[in-house]
Amino acid sequence: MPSATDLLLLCPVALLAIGLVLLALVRRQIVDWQTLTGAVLFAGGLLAAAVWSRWRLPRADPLLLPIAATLAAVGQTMTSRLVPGLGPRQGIWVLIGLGAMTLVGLLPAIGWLRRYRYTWATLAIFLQILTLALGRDPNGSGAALWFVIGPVSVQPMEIVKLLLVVFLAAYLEEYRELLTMAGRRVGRVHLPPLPYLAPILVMIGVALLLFWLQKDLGPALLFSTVLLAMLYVASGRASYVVMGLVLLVLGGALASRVFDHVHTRVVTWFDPWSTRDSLGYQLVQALYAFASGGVFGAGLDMGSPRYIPAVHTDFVIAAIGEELGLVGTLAIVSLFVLLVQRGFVIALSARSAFSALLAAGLSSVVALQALIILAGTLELIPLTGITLPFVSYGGSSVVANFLIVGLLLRISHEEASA
Amino acid sequence: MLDDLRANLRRTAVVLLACFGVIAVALGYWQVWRAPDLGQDPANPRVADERLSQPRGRILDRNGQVLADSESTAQGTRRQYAEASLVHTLGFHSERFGDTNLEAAYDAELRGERSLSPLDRLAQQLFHRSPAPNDLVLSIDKRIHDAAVEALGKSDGAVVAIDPRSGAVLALVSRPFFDPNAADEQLAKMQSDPAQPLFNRAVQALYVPGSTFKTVTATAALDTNLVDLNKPFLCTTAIKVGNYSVDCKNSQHIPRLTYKQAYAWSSNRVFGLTGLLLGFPKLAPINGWLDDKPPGPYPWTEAGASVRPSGDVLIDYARRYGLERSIPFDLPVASSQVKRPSTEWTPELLVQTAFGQGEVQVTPMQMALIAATVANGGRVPTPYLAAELRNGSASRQLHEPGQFFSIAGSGDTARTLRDFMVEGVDNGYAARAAIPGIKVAGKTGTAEVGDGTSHSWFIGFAPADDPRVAVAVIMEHQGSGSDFATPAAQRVMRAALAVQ
Repeated sequence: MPSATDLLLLCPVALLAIGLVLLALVRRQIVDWQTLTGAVLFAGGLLAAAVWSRWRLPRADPLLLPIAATLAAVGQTMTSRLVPGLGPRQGIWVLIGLGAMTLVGLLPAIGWLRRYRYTWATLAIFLQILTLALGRDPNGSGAALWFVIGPVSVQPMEIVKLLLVVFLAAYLEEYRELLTMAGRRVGRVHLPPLPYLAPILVMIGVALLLFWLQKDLGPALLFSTVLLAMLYVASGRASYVVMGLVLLVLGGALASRVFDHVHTRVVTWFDPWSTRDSLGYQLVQALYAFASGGVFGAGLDMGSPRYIPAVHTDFVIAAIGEELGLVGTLAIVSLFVLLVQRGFVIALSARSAFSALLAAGLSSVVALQALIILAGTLELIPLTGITLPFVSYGGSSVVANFLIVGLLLRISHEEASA
Repeated sequence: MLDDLRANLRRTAVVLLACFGVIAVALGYWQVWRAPDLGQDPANPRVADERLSQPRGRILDRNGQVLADSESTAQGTRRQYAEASLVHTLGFHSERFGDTNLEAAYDAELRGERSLSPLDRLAQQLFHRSPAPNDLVLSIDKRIHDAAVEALGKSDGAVVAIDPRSGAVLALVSRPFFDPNAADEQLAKMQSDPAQPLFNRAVQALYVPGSTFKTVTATAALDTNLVDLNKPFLCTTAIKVGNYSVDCKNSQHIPRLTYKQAYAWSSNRVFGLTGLLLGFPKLAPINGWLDDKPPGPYPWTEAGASVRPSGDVLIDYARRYGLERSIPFDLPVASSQVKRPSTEWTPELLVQTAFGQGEVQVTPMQMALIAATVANGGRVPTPYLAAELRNGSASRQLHEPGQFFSIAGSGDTARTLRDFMVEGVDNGYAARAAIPGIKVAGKTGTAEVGDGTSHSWFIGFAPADDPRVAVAVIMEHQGSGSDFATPAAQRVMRAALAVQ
């Protein structure tokens, strides 16, 4: 029996259909069946995924999928608008993502992930090293972060992200009490119990080092902040977070002195305007796009986001800002707020520490990834290239984020049925 | 144990969601607060894109005649100007060089970015509606403009015609000019042209005014009751002021004359001495001191050296007319000056200043305002070019007619000056300004420029009893005011009064 919340799935379908029809009207003044192919396939995939999860995970959170699918529909519309040729590709990736999401339902149990925690960690490091060795740069982004397999390029970082969160959830659950209790105090400050933290620090350190080597700052920042969020959830020690953030800023400052590309990012963050024709160009163009959009936006396909380099990936929010206005960008932000809120509700209702930590970690990944790129685009923090979950063009990103949704669905189902 | 975890979870969630709140605020900052300035920033590529494709409102004269229009081409819109001679009035719109003059000053209005009604303006901002270009209606009358261009002929110079009651500028011509339709291709060449076709002489050039400046000296003398208008005096000899000698050559055919006649026949000695005597109000009436035989040694000569002559009164009256200060106008007007700030007054300099030589430098606009002030009862009208914006049936007035920015003298003084200027046309050097059946007021000027040639000047207005047009004409290096600028001005006034 479909419930009222299932009707919410009509939202993303209608959004994508309207978006594609509008684009066809503006571009070709013709709407034919071909126009709606993308929307029909999306509707089909979404329906199949909903039916499947209703059958396999009947007690799962009913809001997660509509929210994620709405973000994905906006993403597919914007991809079609910004790089028409990539629209169908993004559509296929969304379908693959929905498929991957349902596969999570086939896992024996969520606790199974916990059992193989060191396997995941090893796999993550292995993938990182493999990227360093075999990575390619098919799009000329300046960093070799992709495996190119035939016509498809995969960004392993998106999978590494998931593996690390699973590992962290399992590890932190195991040593949670020690992390909370033990440790020396210096004055009022609790020092972290280093022996227990060491494995995580080593692992994260290796991951960060590899990212540095790849000149990929976004994921490095994402992992560091996700680690801090999960460490706080596990330990309740704000001092860890503060220390971590201080280390992060110091590390950033050091990197800024050592690496040119980091230095550039920091300088353009302080003042993008004085180098608006060179280093600050991308950021300044994004800010112009936001400003030109105003409250209601120029309208889909009516703006000029083409001036922003990498607009369909890292800077998709600026294109949304220009064409859909503040109304559009706030809607996107609200969807993320809802998604993250659902994620934490699932974590709160979890009956095992592992599930709670995993749900919190997965939600934090989505939240922090969105925050890092949004804040970077809005000149709140130095810009680091990273996708806006579900919305930016990018297959690996879409699939990984739907996997997160799948995991969250799975956790919510298991905790509700236990 | 899970309870601790839940408390931590809640706090983590709150912090993360608060971060999204910060993002929302930042979005509001860039998309609402900074939208006006960044949206219009010339470096924003959208601004240039828009301008290329945007229609631009027309510029019309006061009778609705089209002076500038935009036509669509494959590359975007192209500005078309009715005539090259309008360039100094309108300025020009160029994709390469940007906008100048009125095209620059009313750019947003012509593009229609700011709609005429506040409600529409709000809707425009909210919904990003494409702007509706407004037409800019000028105070210019194309027929008077054409007459002014013709009247200048091949001479370099300027004509400014003003409606003295409203301040509406009816014609503003500066020669040489260049074709704004070819600005993109020719501007670079024009910049190095020695004739300076880009230079707007009507408002920017500073010329020696010659005898037209006697109007200012006369204003000071009349307004301070320095002269008895009925008592004639004798003017036949030259008088030495320091090493400088002022003569009665201009009025030599009337040895015995009244102050009015001295003005009409432009006596340098009378007005030179007036300038010096302005500093000695106790000597009023000064008629005896203007005579061949003064009642005693001049107060500024050796014998009376205890009192130095002061130019303060003259400067004060000049300031009242708008000299030495900025004149409010749609185009930037150079500030006319009585003397260089660094120079000290000497009797020689003061006497030359009083009849418009020395270091006096004026814009044609300033001289037109002096004529308009006499016509307007002593009030200096605020000149304007941009009258209103029109969009369909909606319109917005840009300047309120009939404003004045200064008072040069009393109504009585203005009336007396008007009589002086009428005398100048009826029985004086400005005779060629006469229009049959109409009482015309005028003053000529022949400004020596130091290279042996003279600029030809005329200022005046008509009809004298109900002035509808005041003009200033300058023709560079042409010779006497009577023979060149005066008939030219007559053509302009005739066109303005629509008399054939």
